Amino acid sequence: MKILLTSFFSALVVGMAYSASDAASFAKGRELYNGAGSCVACHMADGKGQPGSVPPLAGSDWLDDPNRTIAIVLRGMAGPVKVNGDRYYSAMPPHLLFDDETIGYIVTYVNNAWSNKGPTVTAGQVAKARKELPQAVLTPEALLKAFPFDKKGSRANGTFTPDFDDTLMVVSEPVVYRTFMPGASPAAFAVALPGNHYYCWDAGECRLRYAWTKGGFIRGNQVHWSSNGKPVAKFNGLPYYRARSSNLKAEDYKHLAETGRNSPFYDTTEAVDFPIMIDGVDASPKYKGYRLVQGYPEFIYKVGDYEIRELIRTSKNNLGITRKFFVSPRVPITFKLTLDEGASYLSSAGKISKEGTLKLTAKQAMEFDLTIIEKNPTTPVTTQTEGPKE
Amino acid sequence: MKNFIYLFILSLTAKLAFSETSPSYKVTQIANPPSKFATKQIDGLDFLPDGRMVVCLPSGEIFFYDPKTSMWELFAEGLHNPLGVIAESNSSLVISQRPEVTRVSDTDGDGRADFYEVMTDEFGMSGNYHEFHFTPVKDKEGNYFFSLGTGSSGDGIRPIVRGKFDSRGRPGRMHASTPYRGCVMKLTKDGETIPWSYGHRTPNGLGFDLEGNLFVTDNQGDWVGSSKLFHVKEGRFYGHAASLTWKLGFEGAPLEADPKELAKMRTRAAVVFPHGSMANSPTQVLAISPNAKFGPFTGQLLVGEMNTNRIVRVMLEEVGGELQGACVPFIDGGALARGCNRMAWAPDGSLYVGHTKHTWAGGEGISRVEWNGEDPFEAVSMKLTKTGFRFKFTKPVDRKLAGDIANWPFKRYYYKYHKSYGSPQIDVSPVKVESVEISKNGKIVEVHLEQLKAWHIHEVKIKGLKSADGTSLANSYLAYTLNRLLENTPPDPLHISGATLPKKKSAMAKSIEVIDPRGTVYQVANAKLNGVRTSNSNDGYTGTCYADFDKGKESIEWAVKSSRKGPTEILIRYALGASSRPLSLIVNGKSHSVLPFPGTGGWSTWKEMTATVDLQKGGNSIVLATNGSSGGNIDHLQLIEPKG
Repeated sequence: MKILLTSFFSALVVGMAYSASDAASFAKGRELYNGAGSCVACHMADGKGQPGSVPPLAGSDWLDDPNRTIAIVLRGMAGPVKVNGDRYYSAMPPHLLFDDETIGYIVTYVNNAWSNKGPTVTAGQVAKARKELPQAVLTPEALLKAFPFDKKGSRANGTFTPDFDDTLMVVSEPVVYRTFMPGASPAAFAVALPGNHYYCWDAGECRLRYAWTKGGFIRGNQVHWSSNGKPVAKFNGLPYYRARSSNLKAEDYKHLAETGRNSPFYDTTEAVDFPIMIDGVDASPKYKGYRLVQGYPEFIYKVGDYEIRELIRTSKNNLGITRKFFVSPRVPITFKLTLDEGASYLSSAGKISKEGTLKLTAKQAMEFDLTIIEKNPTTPVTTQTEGPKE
Repeated sequence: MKNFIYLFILSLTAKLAFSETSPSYKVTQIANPPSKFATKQIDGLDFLPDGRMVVCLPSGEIFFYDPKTSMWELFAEGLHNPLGVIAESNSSLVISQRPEVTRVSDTDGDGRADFYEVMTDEFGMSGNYHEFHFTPVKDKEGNYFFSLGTGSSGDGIRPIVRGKFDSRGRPGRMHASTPYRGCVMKLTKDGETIPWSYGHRTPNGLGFDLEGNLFVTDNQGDWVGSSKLFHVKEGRFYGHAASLTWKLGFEGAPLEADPKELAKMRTRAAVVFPHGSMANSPTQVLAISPNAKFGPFTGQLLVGEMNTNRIVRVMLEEVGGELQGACVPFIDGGALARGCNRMAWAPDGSLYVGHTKHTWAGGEGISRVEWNGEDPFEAVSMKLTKTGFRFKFTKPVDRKLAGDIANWPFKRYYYKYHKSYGSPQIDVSPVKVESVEISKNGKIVEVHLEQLKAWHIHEVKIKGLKSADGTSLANSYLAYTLNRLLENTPPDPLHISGATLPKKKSAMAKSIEVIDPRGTVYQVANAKLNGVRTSNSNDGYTGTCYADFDKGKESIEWAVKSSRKGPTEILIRYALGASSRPLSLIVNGKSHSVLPFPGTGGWSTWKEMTATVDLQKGGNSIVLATNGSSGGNIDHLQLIEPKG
């Protein structure tokens, strides 16, 4: 019955076109949304939200019931939600400082912006809700109990039971997953480190591919594992470091999560840019495995007769990662670092040149640390990517 | 695990029928491991030397289970779709995961794995989801075998692939664009990785019989008319074209090859599982070991079935030098879940079964199957005779029911070999039963058929059979893959087109009449072939085919009749492309000589090799056997006897 009424009402609003007061509410709402209301900071001016972290308002299937929308704005909501079939975790804060009228304008705007078609909301409706709603941030479950979807809509939407890896936003011990990662060969690792630093290491080429820290670890990986294995992992942040790969052209980067290609950009027998060079050794690196050192993976690979071990941990200041290398038997090496502009670099031995070259003596190369630190880590993410850029 | 189109087909397929688990077997469930992930699919299962069970989950977790305490412990995590495990010690496992065969060990004794060592990653990954890496198994010498699934046209490949990309292997419903997809692989005890056999599609399950023969299953699909069980031998091609990209000496793209040539190259399945009635997606092969407490079937093979709640039993015999035989549903329906994917014998002799699905029809969790010690009423063997089949039962049969020929409705058919998905049953014909003989003790029933046709599946759904004590036959549906007859097997008709293949002379290499028969001609078609395959691809042979020697222990045995005792000249007609391939000549069981067989200058150029042998009057055995390497193509043997 609820949906019938709502649809009827929507149809009525559209059919009648706005009255002067509707149009005024809409205009005031638009100003609040983009200004004092701060809605725009997360949901964006186009109402599309941020993939993976902030649900869209434009075309959202959650806007079918204005009373539910009012409740979310008034009390806030925290927990897993599914909007237009996509999963989100981020919390909507309660907007305690806004009066009934202000909230009415904002909801009216959201209901009718970006080709949305919904009713105008009055201060009276908000006041009623404010009186009746419990005094707490709402869970999606509680909210949907009070304001359920119609049967048809609820099949795809509402809330969901979180997967283990979907909730992995705070990492207290290292997590090592072998899975399909964008921008790596299919023999990839996704690793989460305490302090919420994440990286992708590629066993196909024996090298660190990229590191990121914002937006949590990969999500929905359970789907990859328990299904037929098709999905490639996704994550929300943007890598602050990515290793150079001259096998890839700039225009290739947007295709790195694809699975439906006829031919690859390259295969690992053609891989170049392996960062560790040893005089007189021309062999490709050969992956041998990994050891867990206090839970942290230490990758083992061979270049010719030389064994290299690479143990990656959170850096001391927690601003990035520290890669500890061991080269044996003793030999001088040249390390070619990728100087990605998103990060700064520090070596425990030798000196990194402007071009990113680090020459180490045999003794220095026995054990050395390379630290990669995200630049300006305090700047919040304001733009969202379609996944990692490589 | 097959292409998804399959799910759709399955939904149209009626439930498999005609059988049920005998009451002598009880199926119970084991509580699931405490995975932090929702899925409880079991993709690998084995027992540690200390009696604990190890299981692998799709989540990359590995758990140990103590049957005494029913307690679970997490051993390792983070692996990439581990689809098989061998417990080598209480702290070290060998795992097949997508990118590698990995040894996962606890080296510091804290009960948790800390070392993940690559045993081999010398194979490619295009990143296509369907490129599963199945089941490691280990032979008695310490070599490992594993199998690599092909990619599916249900998706493409990734932007960066591991291993050499070859576009020749990329087209097709199931593809093999990186090394050794569609192969059974051998990892030798010295660490060498070798493609061992070719032509596999979704080889979800390897296993040895008690003699050490290696078997692998395959799933119905392109090039696979119905699901199969193959006896794996080095270098052989088993039918699915894509992997030929990686076979040394194969030129061009597999899909552009003449299907007839592929059909000639392929080795037939030892057992075909009729689709829709026997099995739709066979999984692991497990021999019924002497340690198993599972009834009077020691040495036979169990094969799991993914789509339904069934475990099939396989009974093999050697005919014409190759294994072939029958399959029958065994543990079926009832408490057994679907998705019977991995199996192992517990120390107490019971069977543990891991169930999985990976979005296909299947199940989750772990079952345990126990035998109560009472013989079930089952067919314990089905063997080929010259005129039909000999069934042995676990108990004396009701003579009246078993003696009624109407209770033995046989039919025969074959499946097409082609690149399309699956095959209908072709040339389906009822086979008339002429008579039934029952042994004195009532346990053996000989069924004489009007005709046996080589290269056809012969199946029977025995009607209403009971034992003398009134027990119903638990599983009455048996299908025998009749490739070779006990004698006079015609050449493989290839079955590449619809209907019964007419003998198109133009489509085959040319056979010629025997010129100047100087004595009795003994064709290889009438000889006993051990391992040697017959072929007709090269022109100029006589009779219906010639014998094509391969590596390994192979031989041809002719039974010849001599009218007198004494030295007799024999003549062997053969062709050999180049160099020489000596073969041993053995007469009446005694080594005679090694015949050199020099090259004839081409595979269609036939020459004769002669020798003088001492024969007895009457029956004699003349054998040509490999002598450490391969041999040429042998057309026939002639006995040059003085006239009169």
